[in-house]
Amino acid sequence: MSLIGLLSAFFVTLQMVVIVLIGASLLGIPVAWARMARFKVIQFIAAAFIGIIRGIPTLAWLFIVFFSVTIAGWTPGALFSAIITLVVVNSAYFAENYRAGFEAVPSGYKEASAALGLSGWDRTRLVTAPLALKVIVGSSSSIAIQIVKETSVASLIGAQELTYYANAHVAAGGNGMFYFSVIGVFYLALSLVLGIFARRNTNTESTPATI
Amino acid sequence: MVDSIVSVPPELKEKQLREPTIVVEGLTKRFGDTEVLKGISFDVKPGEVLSIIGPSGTGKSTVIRCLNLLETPTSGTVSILGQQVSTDGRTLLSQRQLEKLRSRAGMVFQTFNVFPHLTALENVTLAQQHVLGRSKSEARTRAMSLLERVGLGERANFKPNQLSGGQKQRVAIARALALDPEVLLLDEPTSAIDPELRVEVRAVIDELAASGMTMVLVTHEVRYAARLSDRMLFLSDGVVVESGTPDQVVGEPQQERTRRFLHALEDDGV
Repeated sequence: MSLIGLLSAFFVTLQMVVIVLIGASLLGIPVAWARMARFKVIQFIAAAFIGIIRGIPTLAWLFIVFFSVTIAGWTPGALFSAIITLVVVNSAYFAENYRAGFEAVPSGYKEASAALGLSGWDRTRLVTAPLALKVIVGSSSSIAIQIVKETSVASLIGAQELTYYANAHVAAGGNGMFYFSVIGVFYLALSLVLGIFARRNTNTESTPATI
Repeated sequence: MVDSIVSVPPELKEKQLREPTIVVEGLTKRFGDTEVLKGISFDVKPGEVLSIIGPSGTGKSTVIRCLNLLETPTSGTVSILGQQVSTDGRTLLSQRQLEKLRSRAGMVFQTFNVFPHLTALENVTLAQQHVLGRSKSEARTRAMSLLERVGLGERANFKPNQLSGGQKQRVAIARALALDPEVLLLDEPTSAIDPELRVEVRAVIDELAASGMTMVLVTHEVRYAARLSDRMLFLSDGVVVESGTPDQVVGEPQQERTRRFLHALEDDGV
């Protein structure tokens, strides 16, 4: 076992987590917006996108993306394919999370902001979004942890991250229990850090639930 | 001011002064298969306090929510502040006009709905800045004077979860008054407050009535409403059963339904 090999594999995983987390949480915004749009057609398209994405395993999506781009004659590499797949798949989860956050804001606050004569954009910007955000940050941590673990599927198309590293060593005759326990610790550390970050940023004192 | 420059014929001026602030004709509201309001008509004149009383679930709140179009009427006509806003289920205002109208008709809710992420002061400055376009310092000055007027000057920087129900409702009233509304719509303003703390909210409402604010008050506190109002409507099962001065409606009710309601209240000690 080489420490450098392990650390570089961890670095690949970390890089995937960071890019996917940022990419998916940003892409989730327009998807959530479309899902809550006034026009039924846009709403339907967003709902279909979310339904199809979430109804098929991430691993299957990964192969679909990987083989599609390869057939199309484009060879972006395993890591890039995996990142694109995870960004798109998790944007659907984030979108549903954002929508749930907005819907969790009690209608009384929305009505009060309307009764004051605030415009639709101001109502969202000044009242609904700040209240929804408190719910969203807390519940997004489970998606973040899901992303940490899902990066492992990338090993199956050859991205050289933690799981690939363990698999490669076991295939070369290494002790499976040892190698997978070691990478398990790394995954656990990442999940814990994200969990603590989320908890710090959730202000339970003034969540909308307390009127 | 304008009168001194342009001479308005006395009879026209008289007419303008007497033009009702709110006119409702044949208002109906249906939620799915349930007809909550079955043709309500009334008006409110400038400076008048009208209270709407009646049993729960009889559509009192729906009436007041139709006035600023938080609910869209199913049919009938609603005019408020000289504008016809809704007729036969059609909203006659653009989004911009509706927002303008709502800023001129303040609303106070049973559940306060004071924004929990903002301090008392920020609750009162928010719409001043973003609806009326007042500067931050102007909005703060106005908000502070209103918070002092409702007895909460020292709580200006408190968040709603640090305030009692009565205090939250007074912040909500200050928030509505901050836009200098021409009419105030009060939807059961004291129902969700501890009896002992209702006094402080009532004191604020009393003062507003005394200062000549036009108000529509939905309540089931009949005795309080009788003391405060110029006129009362007794609503039951979506129709106006009886209307008139408090002496008429509460003192000498003509309808059996009204009497039954008032008797029930007396038995209950309210």
